[in-house]
Amino acid sequence: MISVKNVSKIFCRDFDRARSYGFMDIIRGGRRPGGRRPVPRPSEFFALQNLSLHLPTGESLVVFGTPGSGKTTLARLLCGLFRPDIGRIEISGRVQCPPDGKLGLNPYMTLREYIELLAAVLGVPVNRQQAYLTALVDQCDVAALIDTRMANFPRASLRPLTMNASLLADGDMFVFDDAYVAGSGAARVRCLERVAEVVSTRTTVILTATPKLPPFPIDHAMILHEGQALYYGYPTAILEVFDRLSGELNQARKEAEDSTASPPEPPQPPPTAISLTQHLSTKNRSARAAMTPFLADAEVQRLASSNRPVLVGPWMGNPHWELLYWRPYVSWLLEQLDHSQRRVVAISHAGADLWYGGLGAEYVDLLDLYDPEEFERISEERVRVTGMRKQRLMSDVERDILESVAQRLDLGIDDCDVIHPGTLFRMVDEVWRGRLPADFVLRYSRFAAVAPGPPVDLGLPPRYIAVRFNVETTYSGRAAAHDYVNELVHSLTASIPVVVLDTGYSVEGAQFALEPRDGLISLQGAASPRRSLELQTQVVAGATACIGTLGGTVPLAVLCGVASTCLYIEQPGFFAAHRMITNLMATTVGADGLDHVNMREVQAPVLAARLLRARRKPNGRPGRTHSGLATNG
Amino acid sequence: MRDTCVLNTGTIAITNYVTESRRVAKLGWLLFLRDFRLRYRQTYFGYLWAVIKVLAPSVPMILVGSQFGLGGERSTSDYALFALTGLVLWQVFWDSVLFPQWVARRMRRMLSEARFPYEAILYAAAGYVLFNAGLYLMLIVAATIVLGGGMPTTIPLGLIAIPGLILSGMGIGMVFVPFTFVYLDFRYALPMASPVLLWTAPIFYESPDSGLVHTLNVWNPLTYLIGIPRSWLTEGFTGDDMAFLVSLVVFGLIFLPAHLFFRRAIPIGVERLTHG
Repeated sequence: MISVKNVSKIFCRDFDRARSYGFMDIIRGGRRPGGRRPVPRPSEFFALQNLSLHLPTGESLVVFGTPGSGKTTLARLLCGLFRPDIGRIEISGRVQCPPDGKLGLNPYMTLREYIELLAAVLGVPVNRQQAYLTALVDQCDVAALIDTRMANFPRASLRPLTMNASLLADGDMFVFDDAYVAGSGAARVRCLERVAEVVSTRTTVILTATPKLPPFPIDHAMILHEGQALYYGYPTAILEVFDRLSGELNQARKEAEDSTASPPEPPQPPPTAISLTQHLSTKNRSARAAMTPFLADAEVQRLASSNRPVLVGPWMGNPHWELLYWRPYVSWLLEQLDHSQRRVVAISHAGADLWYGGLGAEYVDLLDLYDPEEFERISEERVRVTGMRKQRLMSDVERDILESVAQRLDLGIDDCDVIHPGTLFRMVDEVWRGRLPADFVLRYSRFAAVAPGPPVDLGLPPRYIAVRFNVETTYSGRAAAHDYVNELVHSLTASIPVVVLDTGYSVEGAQFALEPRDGLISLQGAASPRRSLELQTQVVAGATACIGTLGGTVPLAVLCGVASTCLYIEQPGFFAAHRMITNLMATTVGADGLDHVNMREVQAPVLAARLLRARRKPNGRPGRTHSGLATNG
Repeated sequence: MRDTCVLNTGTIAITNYVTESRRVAKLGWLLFLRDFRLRYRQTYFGYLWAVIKVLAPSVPMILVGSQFGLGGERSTSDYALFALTGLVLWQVFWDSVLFPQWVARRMRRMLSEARFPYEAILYAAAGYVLFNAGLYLMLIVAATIVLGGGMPTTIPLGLIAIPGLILSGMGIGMVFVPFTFVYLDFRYALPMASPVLLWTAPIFYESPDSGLVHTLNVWNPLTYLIGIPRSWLTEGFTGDDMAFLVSLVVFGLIFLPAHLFFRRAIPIGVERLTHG
């Protein structure tokens, strides 16, 4: 079994500095400055960053990566030659990594002595070394040379000798960095047969830059790019993605070389290493965007190749992004699979039961496993360890959660397929950053209305407006927004009760504090955190209208068919993308009455008046606008 | 979460531990042989160099020392045996300090390509030290016969003390191993330190009754680590024999943390061999 959890490895580009850092690290006993979250010092860089993978015993993984992607670093980490600067690697059993052809070679040794040395280095038990020597000389067909000095040993036979020496040594896991076969003719065939045997019986990792699968079955594949795991999945699907990526990068290199070869024109700066790096970086980004469509398709292939139970999640973030992105993506994925015969378990938090009811999935709430404070702590731990608020990569914490859920359901984690939010985030990242159009998300989303369940008497007035104003971390005008929403609520409560969706559950995101006033109803204490979303869904479904921010309550209101107004104050690229996707969602589910209002353009009392006027209209809903102004006749 | 790398997880049974130790010892032995052959097969005088290494500085030192009466009331031949035995035991100790980093430096390519127990470096270094110690002891035997020295009954004790001397030297030497992958300063500095440290213990001179050198001798554990086995090999019990055990304990206290440091720091040095 191999378990690589959030592993990062830092190297230094500058030779002199590297020695100086090495000296200091030795004195510190291996502890780098920065404690558990070390940051690169000057001239250092992440050769691997936040890499996680899990390979069960006996399974095989091929890691594709262009030169410089971090393959050899990963191989050396798996072999124990390097230690991770961040994260944890657990490997059970002895690891074999076929060495270079000259491992420990001394020309004065005989072949017999050299094989004895190889056996000792590769960990062959002392009492098995004679049998090992016999098997190796037979495998390599070099019995006649057994007493030949290594100075006279054919050079071409060295690499096959060390490769076979490793293959015949006792190992529970094999790591092949680049080459997995050596020799020529019959010796090569024998070597390949031995490799195939190893792959079928042992845990194996093959790291290669060649976009080609080995000639034996491989269970999993991964693309490593710029030190990060770009994608895990089904080997044939991954191969197509990698082929495209390496093609793009080769093209970029060729273009860079061409531009270097031709004399620079006066307005252009002379080509330098920096311009090459920038060029490649630009190309990397475009390559990433180009291959993004494959990610979801590859995930479908991976899931379709088995009939195991599927664990969906765990979703640990803001529940309203869950409705906008995650639930539609899961819905699309399940639609692609014939999951009627499979057990599908959605894992979320705060009472999202109602949201997954229509997907044919069982539901496990994390607040049934952890108390709210504990869940908040592990959520923060996840963010701290991964350095990312979004769940772009499977973290240690999430793996532990999945294991707990699997145990609770009497399943083994290794017997389940997992749909983790990481793939979704890698796809929507490209949209948020403007490299793919917003409607790209629609291809991989199935929006469906949320059923609020049977009516419950919540003791609320017959007509009210539901509000939730999340403080987005990207707001630059927080103080202004705080004043705005308070003024808006003040104007509204003069005419209609306003219910604040503030159940007090912090993981849903911080809200602007609203000053208490008559007509303002709080949901504090109305439900436990475990029932928070269930209560909010019922309150929103019964509301006359809903006002909020993105990341607040707007997606829920849209999916409940309630007229909603989305407030914003800034328009960075990803907020624009969120708004467009919310609009597309509203169109898809047939919900009208979604407005987006820029708080800098419409004064709070004016907006309140317009909302109240719209409420008095026969259909009770304001008209739709894309200009940011509620125009209602 | 700890930043760590756990290979071969699970507890190791005693039988496995013994098997593993045997394997590491054999690996160390093979690594010693590999290097040893290369080292001496490329010379004309072969193993004689190991003897010359200790004789070359000793002979003039003994000659001059006897002229200046450094042996106290000893006769010239007794002083020659006294000083030669002391210098040989010092050389065994100092070889134990030097060889681990010397062997590690020679094995750096292997270390960067294959993961094997780093203790094999210490076993290979011990191979060199023991080989040299064997030659040195033959030299003492020859000198005893030529100079007409006595054969005290404590000679077996003196021989038993030699592994303790080697382990004490290695405890110091293994601290320098990781640094040799980063900077060569220790490699250059340690041979220079030898003549300086040699004077801090009464190895080829009789300790004075008072003064700075006397104080230095009294507080230096090397005084007992080398001086007492020397007496056991050439003169018999000293009346202060337990001091040897005390000095062994002192070096033993250095050995354990030094070994932990060695295991922890070697991978960092090895990483720097292949990557900045």
